[in-house]
Amino acid sequence: MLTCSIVENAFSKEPSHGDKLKLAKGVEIMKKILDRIRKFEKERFMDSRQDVEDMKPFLAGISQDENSFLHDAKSSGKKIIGYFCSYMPLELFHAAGVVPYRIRGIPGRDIGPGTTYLSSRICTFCRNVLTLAIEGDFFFLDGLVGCNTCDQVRRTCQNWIIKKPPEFTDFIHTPRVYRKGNVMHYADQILHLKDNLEGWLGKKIHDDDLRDACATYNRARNVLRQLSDLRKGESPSISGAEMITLGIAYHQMPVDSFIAAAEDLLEKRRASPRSTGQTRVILCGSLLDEPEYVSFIEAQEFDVVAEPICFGQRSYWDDVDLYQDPLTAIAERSLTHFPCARIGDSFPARWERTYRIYKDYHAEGIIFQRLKFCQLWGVDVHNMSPHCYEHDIPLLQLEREYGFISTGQLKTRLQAFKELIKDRNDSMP
Amino acid sequence: MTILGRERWPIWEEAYESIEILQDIFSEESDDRTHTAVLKIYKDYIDNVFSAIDKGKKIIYGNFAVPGTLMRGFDTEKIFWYQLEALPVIQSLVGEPGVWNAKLADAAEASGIAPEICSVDRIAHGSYVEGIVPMPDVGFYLTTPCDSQTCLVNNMVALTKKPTIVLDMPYSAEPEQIRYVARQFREVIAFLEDALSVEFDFDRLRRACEIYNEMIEMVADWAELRRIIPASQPCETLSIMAAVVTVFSGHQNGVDYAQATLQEHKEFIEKGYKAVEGDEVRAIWYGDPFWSDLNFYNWLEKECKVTVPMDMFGFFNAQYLIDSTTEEGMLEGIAYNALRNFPMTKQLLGSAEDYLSDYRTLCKLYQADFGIIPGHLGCTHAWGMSGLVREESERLNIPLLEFEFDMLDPRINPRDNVEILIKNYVDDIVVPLKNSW
Repeated sequence: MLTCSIVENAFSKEPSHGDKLKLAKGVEIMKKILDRIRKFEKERFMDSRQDVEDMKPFLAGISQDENSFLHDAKSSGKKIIGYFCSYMPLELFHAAGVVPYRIRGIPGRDIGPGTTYLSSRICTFCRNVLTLAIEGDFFFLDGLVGCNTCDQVRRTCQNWIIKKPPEFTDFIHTPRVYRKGNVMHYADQILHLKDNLEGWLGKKIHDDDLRDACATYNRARNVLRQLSDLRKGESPSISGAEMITLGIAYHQMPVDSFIAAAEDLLEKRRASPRSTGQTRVILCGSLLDEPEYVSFIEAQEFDVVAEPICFGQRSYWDDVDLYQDPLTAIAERSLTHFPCARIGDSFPARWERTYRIYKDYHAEGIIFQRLKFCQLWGVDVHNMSPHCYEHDIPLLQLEREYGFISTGQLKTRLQAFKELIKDRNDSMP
Repeated sequence: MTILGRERWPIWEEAYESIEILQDIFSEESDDRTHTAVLKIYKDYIDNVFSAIDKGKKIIYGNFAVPGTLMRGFDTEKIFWYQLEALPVIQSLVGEPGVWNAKLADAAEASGIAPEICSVDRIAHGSYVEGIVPMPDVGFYLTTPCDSQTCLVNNMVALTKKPTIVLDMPYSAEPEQIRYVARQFREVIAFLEDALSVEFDFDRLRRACEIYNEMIEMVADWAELRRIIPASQPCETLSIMAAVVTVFSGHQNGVDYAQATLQEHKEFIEKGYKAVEGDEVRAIWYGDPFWSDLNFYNWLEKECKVTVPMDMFGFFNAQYLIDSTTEEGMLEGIAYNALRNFPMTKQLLGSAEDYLSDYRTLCKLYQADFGIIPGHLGCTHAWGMSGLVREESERLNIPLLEFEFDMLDPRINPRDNVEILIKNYVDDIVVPLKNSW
């Protein structure tokens, strides 16, 4: 009724002050409900492992509204720069003394303003993020560096920069092909960004700073790999939902804080292997930054033992060569790391690595998920299917919207997939 | 029906037959130079496809943004460059898109391609899956103009398993980026020379660049004539120009078409022809053409009194002529044109400002009464500008109509629906506003 009266008023005249207050109150209530749902989802996937304590720093690190790490960084005078893509030079930001923060949306949030600017033909992640940007949720960002990740993210950045520009903005071209010449071009792009950052911050970024930053990020990636490797054996002592949480935290926390917490976690988990006996799957496909989604899959008696996606292994599988010129090495690592579908001729390399992970982690099936309207990942299943068939790998394709809601349909499909794997395993000699 | 004396794939035969029927019809109308010219070059193109197959020429697969001018540097007696989108476009313009395009798009989806991928790329993929296009020896692709094209490239690399080179097309067109693309052209030349054992000849390229310049100057003159009020040449011509210029850049057929179109336009002006009877309403068509049914444009003029003086695909600019005096000049000139004088790439690959400034320019230069954003479903980088272009239109005080459709697949939003939308918008919004000025 509240909404109806406001809508009627909107058509007849300007909403009254009272209506505006009612609307604001309604939004506030909705926010509280959503917060409660999110909290419940978090607790549910953590409670199942009794590991809430271990994961606390990372949960704080990925929190959209209570991120104490970002708060501390801001209090100590550090600047925070938002970015979108795993192809961005995080090492450069760290060397500049700023905290890189990979942009995420708030799943479940109303995406009206984002849809107004981007239309309903753009993925819900982009619409969600632009909504948050327009409504000022990214108030803590001092800068935004965009890149041509995909057409939709590019347009999201451009809309953001036009409608609500932070203090510092830049946009770099990240090549979509890997050859030597492309690496040099990307190194030049990073150099331009470095110059612009130096101008903004009023300080030089030295090669030694860059080398230190590369070493620091290599260390973070190394600990992530070791944590992920805990799932190679029969008794994975870390869940897929936890690994996704770590993957997100790696992109959203100050890296030094992340390393300290992750190394501590590694020590604890090494000492506590456990056996679940669940069906082992790897999770592929487009952007996924919702641990709740992985948690839901695992709740259907799956162990997600690897996730070669951009908040998963694709981000931490490869290191920067510390013996090269740092900018060239960063560019080289960016363009040669586990490739995203945005790279023009990347499928053979992506499949080769995916298959290796499938074998190394003793997986029994592949779940491929994709955000609706994500074009770049819209053909990978077509290309994967013949390989999966050839190697007798069960493959499940799931389409989803940003903002996970557990549904009976998804549950049914996952359970059917589990049955399929079980039948296959039973029929094997 | 045979093509070059042999039976071919039915879809090609049907298109070929349609061209011959249309040629008979238009040959009786002596002043219709545009249709006569375009039908001739389509027929030539189909002849060339099958002649290449019959002669065992090396086939290079490319996506539509591959610069034709560059490819003319190779000996065309030995190689044939096949654009993956050629069949969908020819089929749409002279065939039955409701039948063939729909069937091929469905074949692509059935093989696992997501329905959100642009129909051009789905149909191109479907053509390959159905085995009704020549098989390649190598692939040469660009990562432009959109993500859907990158998807098609990824598919073709995975499916054909042929040696392939993909060029990275940058976001902007600063001198550094132009040199970057030109350097990559050198890599392409070396790659194709090696993979196909053919030589690239810069003298041949020089001739192609001169032909390109000749064509683009005529296209620019033609675009200038389209500013005149009242409009004299039908707007259907506009939607064909892009298809011709992209496929035949650096080729005599491109020059012939541009010349015929320009000549026709001049004659129409001299004879006092009017595209629309009575007062015309001028619209900027800012997006993909209505290729699934070109008669739509005739309806627009006849029933709605709307003329489209310019659209996004036909807006070529003569300021980017290629310097053909040096090798670098040629490569950089081709690079510049690929980035800034090519349909879609120019407006959609780069910054938001590129998109908006072209919209502003077109509205002002061509004295638009309103804008039309034909929202091609798969065109995400155009959809991503929806809000900003609406605001821009408001600033210009020009009404803007936006609707969903598919440029090749008439099932998405049938022509009848689009007609109702436009007619109502013109009658209820545009004409009253225009009369009040």
